[in-house]
Amino acid sequence: MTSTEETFGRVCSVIAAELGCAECDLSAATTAEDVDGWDSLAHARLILSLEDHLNIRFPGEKLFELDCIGDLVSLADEALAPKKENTRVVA
Amino acid sequence: MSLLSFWKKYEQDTVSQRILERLDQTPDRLYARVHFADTTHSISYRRLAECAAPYAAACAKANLSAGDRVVVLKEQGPDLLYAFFGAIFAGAVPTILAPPSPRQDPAHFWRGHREVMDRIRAQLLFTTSKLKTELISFPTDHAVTAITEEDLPSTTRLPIPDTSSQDVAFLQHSSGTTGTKKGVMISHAALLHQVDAYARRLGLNERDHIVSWLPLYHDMGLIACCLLPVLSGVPVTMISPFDWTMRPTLLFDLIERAKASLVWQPNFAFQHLINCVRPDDNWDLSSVRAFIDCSERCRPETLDQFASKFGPMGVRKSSLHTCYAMAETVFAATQSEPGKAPRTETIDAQALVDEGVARPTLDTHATTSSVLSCGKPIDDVTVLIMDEEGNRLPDRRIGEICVSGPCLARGYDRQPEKSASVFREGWYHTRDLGYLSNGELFVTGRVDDLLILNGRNHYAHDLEFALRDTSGIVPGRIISFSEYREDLGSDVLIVLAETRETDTAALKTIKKNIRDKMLDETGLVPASIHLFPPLWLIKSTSGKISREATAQKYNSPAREEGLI
Repeated sequence: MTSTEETFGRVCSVIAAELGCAECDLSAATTAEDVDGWDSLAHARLILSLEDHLNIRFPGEKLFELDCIGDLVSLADEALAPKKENTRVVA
Repeated sequence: MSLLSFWKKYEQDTVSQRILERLDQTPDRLYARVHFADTTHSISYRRLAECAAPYAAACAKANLSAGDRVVVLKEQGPDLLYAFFGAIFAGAVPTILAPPSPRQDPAHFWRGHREVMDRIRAQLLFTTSKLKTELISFPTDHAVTAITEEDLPSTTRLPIPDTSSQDVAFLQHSSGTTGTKKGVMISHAALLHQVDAYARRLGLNERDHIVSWLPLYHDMGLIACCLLPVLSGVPVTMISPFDWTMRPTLLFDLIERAKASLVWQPNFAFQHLINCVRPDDNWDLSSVRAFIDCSERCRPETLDQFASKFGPMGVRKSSLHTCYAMAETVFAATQSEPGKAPRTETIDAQALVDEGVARPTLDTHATTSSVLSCGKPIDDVTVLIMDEEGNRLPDRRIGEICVSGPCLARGYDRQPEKSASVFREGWYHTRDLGYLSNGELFVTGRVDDLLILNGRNHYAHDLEFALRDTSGIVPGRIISFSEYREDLGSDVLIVLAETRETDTAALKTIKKNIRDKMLDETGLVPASIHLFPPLWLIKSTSGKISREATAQKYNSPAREEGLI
């Protein structure tokens, strides 16, 4: 499994838990408009929850520019990259 | 104070004159610190006057007469303040409209705003270059000149406005979709009375500092966090609502930095903060003497949770307050007493529904409802509870909340019929239900189908109208209502519709169409959309779909049986 696939799975699992939707209905192309209740407040809670689950911090300025779950996964991967880098160095 | 002495006192008093007095006395005192586009702008009274002057000059250059309408459509930054006050200094009547949200379709955005600009016959539009370009593709019927920062004349001198206290100072537009926005006309006298009376009730003093994320196109943001500060000399720190939504704890950062003492926000925002602060986060919030819950139903359980979660950070129960406010009374009609936690009453929920009485109960077996006091009326404001015939009801009887006093609005701009339906014989009929007890107001619900979602008002029939052409829906068979969600501290939007489709993919498409249309037309995102077969929704005897009966059916086992 690639890191993006792994991140995608983790992101979808958090989205499903936070918004009460079925994980199997989510794809990289899913947008906020496709999911009931995904408004700006839910988005903020979701971001916080993802940050906690993935142990990352998203750059604030990019959070309103996301078009779909694929973008969110890419952003999460970017935030995770330095961590993975560090992990390899330590290992 | 008698009405006569009130009018005498405020006869020649205007917003411009009050600001000019402050400019004269304390020109370099901080008025506002505005965080915008990664920069912090500190605005003194001198800077406010100097930067508002080009906007006032633009009004003069356009030959605006006193009372001409000016629309301000900008992102929430310092320039929005300069444009708004510039128009006021010129004697024009500004109104701040909401800028487009990042996900809003420009065509839908402009359709609603064009209608408002046409109705109020706006002469000028103070806006940004981007929005000015967009306006060319969506022109208004009535000619409006769009002016950006680049178009402004170069001057720092303010004109002397030819306005009197009885003139309209600005229009406060209600939320709503196309055709339903109402421009509440606020006179200088009504505004200044509100500011003075509300400042007295809160005991505002020179040590106070307000922190706000509220949008200035909303009355709570504009009155409590923009006009109250500038007219009473209390500084304010502002951030954009977009920034706050994404990072709600920015509010706590600012409170700590400014040692702020006053914060206004709707109930949902208290809950959003409860939900978004991590257990190990910490701020010193002890400087806040009043967090004021306002603009949607104040929920005791939300304030209890807020006090409990943020107690270790210095939030006291006595610093959590409530206010009953609306644009039609400029802002606050009632406010809980500073320094004292507002009273919560536990009442018999059955007696409330069956008898229209708020009966306190200690019976642990009874179904009860907890209602939070919104405090007593501010000076010179009278609050009464009336029945449907307009008779005054005694304490503890549920009826329509009606407000009277010198801070009443002059009505809705160019909408005489709408004005006459709610402003009657000196009373504003709020359509809110509630009761009085020992002079304190308790709000229990609504007379009509108004939905209050995240502090903003929307009519259910208007939302349904927006969805009327959704393909796949049985024509006219769609309904919207709200449902309280304790975890969000606010009501959420539920949409139910009938369809003849049964195919899973087709049903998904219909739901997406509803979601897209609702977002484009109203900016709202439904929390749930449910589809049912034809004739599932309940019609009333008048042939209309009964919102109440259908909502009850939705909350019964019949929902699961009917869902497709």
